[in-house]
Amino acid sequence: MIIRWLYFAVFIFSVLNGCIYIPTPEHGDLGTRDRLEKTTLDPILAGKTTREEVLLQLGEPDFVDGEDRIFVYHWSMVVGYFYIWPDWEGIIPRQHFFLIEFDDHGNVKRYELKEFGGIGSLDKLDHDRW
Amino acid sequence: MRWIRSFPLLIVLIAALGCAYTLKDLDETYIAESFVLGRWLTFIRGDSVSKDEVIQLLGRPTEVFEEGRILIYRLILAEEEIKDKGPYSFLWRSEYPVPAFNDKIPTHNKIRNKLASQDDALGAVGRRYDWKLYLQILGRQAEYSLVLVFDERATLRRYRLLRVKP
Repeated sequence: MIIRWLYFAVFIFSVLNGCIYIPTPEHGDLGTRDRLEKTTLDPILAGKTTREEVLLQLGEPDFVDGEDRIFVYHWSMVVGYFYIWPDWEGIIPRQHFFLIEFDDHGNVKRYELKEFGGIGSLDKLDHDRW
Repeated sequence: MRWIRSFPLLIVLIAALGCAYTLKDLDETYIAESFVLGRWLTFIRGDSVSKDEVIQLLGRPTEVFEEGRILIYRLILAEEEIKDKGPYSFLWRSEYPVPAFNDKIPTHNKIRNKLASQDDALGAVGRRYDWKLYLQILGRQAEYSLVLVFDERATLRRYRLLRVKP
């Protein structure tokens, strides 16, 4: 019985290698705006929704391009925690971006929800090439 | 050794207690948009509110869109301890992006309040002068986006206050 436990312990330690990762459902906030829920984003439709309606629906964008053509809304969520032996621990974030482009008449031309893991910023998003 | 078998259950119970405690703290009554509008921003509910009146009362907007037809104000509701006076709650107009309130990082909140208070406070409530109002002081803090849409005669046509950060 003891031998079996020893084999199990050796296997576990070799896999974990001093690092524990605990995935969680998305939660918490990391100093960014609150998450934009699907129900909040659903009324936004390309070719129909105006810039005024977007602002009334979502509030101040986190980034606006020079000519008010692109709005970016950004929020971060916690998706897990890690622990690295002996005393390094932290959170694992996921970045969410909602990008909207407007046409010359101020109507929504297109929009997209993007997300990626890690510590992110608008630089990483590279909205210029969107 | 029966207690070992119920150990996972104990962990779940402790975790659930933690959740319950956190949820208990999240009394959102006084940070609800409707409450903040009624408590701090009643003037925008009036008839024929002009853009000049808004700017006179709220100051320079944080963002301006469509050649001034749409104004946005970033508003921070915060509570701070004032020496010899107790806790006060403030509604600040902030031109600077500030981190969200985080009850686990007090230093972070001091920076937040310092950044937010670089502009004039729009109003303040203290318990020394009005106990009833003190009861309305927030348990938490929040950031809002006040979106104001004006018509061609610069009269307020539509508005919305959105809570954007906890």
